[in-house]
Amino acid sequence: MIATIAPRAPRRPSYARLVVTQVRYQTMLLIRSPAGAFFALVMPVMILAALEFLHGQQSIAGVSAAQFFTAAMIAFAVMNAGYITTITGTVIARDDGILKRLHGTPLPPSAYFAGRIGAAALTTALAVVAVMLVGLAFYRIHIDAPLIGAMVLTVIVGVLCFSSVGLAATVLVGSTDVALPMAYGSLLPLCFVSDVFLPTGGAPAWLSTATSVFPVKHLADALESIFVATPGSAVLSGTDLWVMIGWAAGALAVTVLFFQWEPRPAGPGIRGRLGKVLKRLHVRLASMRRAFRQS
Amino acid sequence: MDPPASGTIPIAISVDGLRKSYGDIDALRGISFTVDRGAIFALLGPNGAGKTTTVEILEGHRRRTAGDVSVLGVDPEHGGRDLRERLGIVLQSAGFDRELTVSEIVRLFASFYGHPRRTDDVIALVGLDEKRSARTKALSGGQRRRLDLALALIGDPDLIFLDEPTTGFDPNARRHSWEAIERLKALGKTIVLTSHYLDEVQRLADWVVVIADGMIVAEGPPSSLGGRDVSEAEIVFRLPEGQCWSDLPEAVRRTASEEDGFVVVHTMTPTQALYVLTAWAVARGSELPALRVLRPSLEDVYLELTKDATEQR
Repeated sequence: MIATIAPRAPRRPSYARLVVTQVRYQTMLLIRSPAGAFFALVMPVMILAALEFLHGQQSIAGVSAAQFFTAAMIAFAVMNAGYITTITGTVIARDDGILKRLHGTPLPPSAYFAGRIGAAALTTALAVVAVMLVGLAFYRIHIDAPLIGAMVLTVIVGVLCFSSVGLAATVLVGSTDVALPMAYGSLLPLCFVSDVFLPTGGAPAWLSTATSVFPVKHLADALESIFVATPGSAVLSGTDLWVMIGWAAGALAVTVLFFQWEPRPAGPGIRGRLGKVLKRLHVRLASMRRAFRQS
Repeated sequence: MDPPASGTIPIAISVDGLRKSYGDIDALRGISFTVDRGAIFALLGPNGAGKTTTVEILEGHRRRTAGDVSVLGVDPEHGGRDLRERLGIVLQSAGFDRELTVSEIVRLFASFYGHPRRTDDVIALVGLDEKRSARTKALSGGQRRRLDLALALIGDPDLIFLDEPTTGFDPNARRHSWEAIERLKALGKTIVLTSHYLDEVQRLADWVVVIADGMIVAEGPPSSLGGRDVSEAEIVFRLPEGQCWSDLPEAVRRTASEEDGFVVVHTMTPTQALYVLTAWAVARGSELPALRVLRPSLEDVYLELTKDATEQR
């Protein structure tokens, strides 16, 4: 038998085209899925409206509450579209075998990751515009035109950071069932202790030291300093941005090394695993006790 | 590690001493086979025999424990993008993004390749024209399986893996898929198929490897698997009205027995035995009622071959 297989021409879709297509599709998926649209777009606007309605006229620690809440909700939008929807969307795709199928095609893994991050960025842009519009229309917030560039840069770095961390976090998430609890379970406590929703209160020093390790506080602080800028103060905090870039780099390294494309087999779960460890410990102790009695 | 120039090797896949262990469990215990280019190759075996493990190693989804594997001239563990551009894979179970339509998802997959087939052609080939604007979450099980096939074909692959492509289909849908697979073969594609349906293998495959419990128990073309083309045939009929056992021709009577009112003749030379029998009947002006010639079916052979593995479970 003589094989007659047409030689494959070397032409390939360019990397940029692959990424653009990925971004387009991932964004479409995110916005079409009810949960994705709710967490990324509706929730920050909803919370902003509620907070402003209740506290908008006050000033907190010498700062206009309306300004502060707008900055807070932009930060929250970045974290929702970046971190939460990246985790849930990726884990669902992994559990459904979508990632396994993709992994059998010539699509380079990095183009998929870039697509996820790009889609998170586009969705965040929509959410930020929505938050700003609500703030401007109903609560008369103001932001000086020169600061808009600083805000855009901060949001971009923020999305890069939180969606990368989201991708890396999927390594730890066992299944779709636990994706959302684990995502919010890790994000919300950090938000509260990092003063995202309320200006700095009387948090103990050790707590602020601890939270300054994580990117949540840095994103919130960076946006806050833009929205409540006082004349003469620095608008862009290099430290805040660099911490987020550092997290993004670390998270991308973890993603490249450990990302999983296949559904996880239904394992024993945490209780099952704990049970196994306890049983082994019990057997060990029993044999030690026996040895002790004999001696 | 470029794949070799086309036309130089007639072998699409070669596997030598392939082993795969999961912890203490040996899923594959040293199997070897080759797949010719342009052939339909079937892996047949009971559930848990190691079929999916084998194809997933060939696809590059799984790492092997030991053995040599070459797919289109390269090791699938290191084939990378070069190899994946030439493979089409239908996994046993893989989902779709629920919120995409059929044509959106086919176009998405087309964008991964330099020279994809036309989206409309592929959708038509698998018979999903009427569903092109439907979101994937609205498709039936059979339609999802056809979309699986469309996504495997969109890159115009040389080698296609089909892991149980028709499991759960109704008879009509299966026949449709078989025709689609035969058309692929006519285009010169190599096809690796796993199945536990014997009629599917009989209809489609050029070469069958039967695996049970991680080992190859038989291989060959489906028509002669397990030597069924050369084994004894059975001629079965009823005695014609008014004839009794002792009237039967001597040559036939020696190897005949009676089972449930039928005369059963075991013979290595059914043509000769039939000649004798029919001449005898015609001479008496009668028919041989309920006359049949039987050979062991692929099912008989398969059940015999996989008996040990099944009993161990």
